[in-house]
Amino acid sequence: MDSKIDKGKFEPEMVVLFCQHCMGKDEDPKAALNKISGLKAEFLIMPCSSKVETSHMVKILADGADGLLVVGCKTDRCRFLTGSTMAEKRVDYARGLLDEIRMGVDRLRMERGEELSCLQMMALVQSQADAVRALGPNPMKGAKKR
Amino acid sequence: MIIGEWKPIEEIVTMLDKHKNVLLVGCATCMAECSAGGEKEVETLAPLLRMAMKVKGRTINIYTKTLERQCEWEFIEELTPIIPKVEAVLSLACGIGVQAIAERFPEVRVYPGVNTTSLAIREEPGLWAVRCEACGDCMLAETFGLCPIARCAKGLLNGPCGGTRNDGKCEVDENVDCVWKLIVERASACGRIEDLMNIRKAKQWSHSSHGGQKRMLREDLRP
Ligand code: SF4
Ligand code: SF4
Repeated sequence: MDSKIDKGKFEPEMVVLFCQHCMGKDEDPKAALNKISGLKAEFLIMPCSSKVETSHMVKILADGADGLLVVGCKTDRCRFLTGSTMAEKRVDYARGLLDEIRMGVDRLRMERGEELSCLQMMALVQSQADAVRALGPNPMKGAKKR
Repeated sequence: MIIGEWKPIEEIVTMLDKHKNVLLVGCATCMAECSAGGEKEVETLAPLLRMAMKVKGRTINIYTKTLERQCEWEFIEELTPIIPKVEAVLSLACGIGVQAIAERFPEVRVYPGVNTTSLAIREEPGLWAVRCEACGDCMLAETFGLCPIARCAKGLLNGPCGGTRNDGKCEVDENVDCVWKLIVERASACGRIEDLMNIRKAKQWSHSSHGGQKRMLREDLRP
């Protein structure tokens, strides 16, 4: 995998919370990440995207992550039926809070996927990293040793 | 339960403007039930406020604690070891909890993080609706268990008003059932529709929130 990242620019530190079912079998995003130069991301697997709470999302950003991506299953493929829908509602609510405090709504985003390959997952992360780059570094950077 | 909702973050940030060390206190009873001030909301608001302050170029140290209830002195005592570390408390309890903390710890400023709105029930997940206005002279016996004080836009004791929509909704709000339509239905279901022909007299409003602080005294329970 080739990176298109210009290392001269600010490179956002991303956190990715993803549902265990949205990626293809045997796909390991952590291993794939090492092959992309420049992209900084921490991948955290969840049993279902609905496990994410508003408090988790806000805390991850308050601890200094530049961007947070939640990846859930497609609406009709969620093993918990409404799990990814509930996750999306919480993400929307949390984005509203970020907007209210003028932190930039695009620091947080939700994407959906099915049988994602590592390459596809990295493309989602890259796409959000581009949006975050436009916002600049999180002013909370260094608030907590990550 | 008592319900309430967060004040706008900007208002909270302005209240805490001069403080560096703040204790954010939740209440695990009513305010947790209405998702305004339980542990989850405390752990959401604390990092959010840290960020909101940082965006304005300030830093704030926020301690968090969620009490079982903020309206009971015994539970409030749990705050005693933390109070000396802070200049202010932001309470996510209803107005009763806020006042109880302010009374117990007069040495710190105490601020409300929630606008307390009413006595309500959770009708569905994410939807709460008022059921009682604590009028002090309950008339639910005459209205078949439906409160027109809390649920009729005009507070009519002898409804309906004549404006009820064809689909049974209130003329003031198309999303709300006309409570007098519901009262008629419930009276019919009990076979007691004729009871509604009795004219309900003017209420005894002096037991309500007018005319000074209300107190309730039970000598048999006093030390
Ligand atoms: S009549 Fe008064 S006490 Fe009874 S439910 Fe209505 S507001 Fe509450
Ligand atoms: S329509 Fe029903 S609930 Fe609405 S004001 Fe009239 S009587 Fe009250």
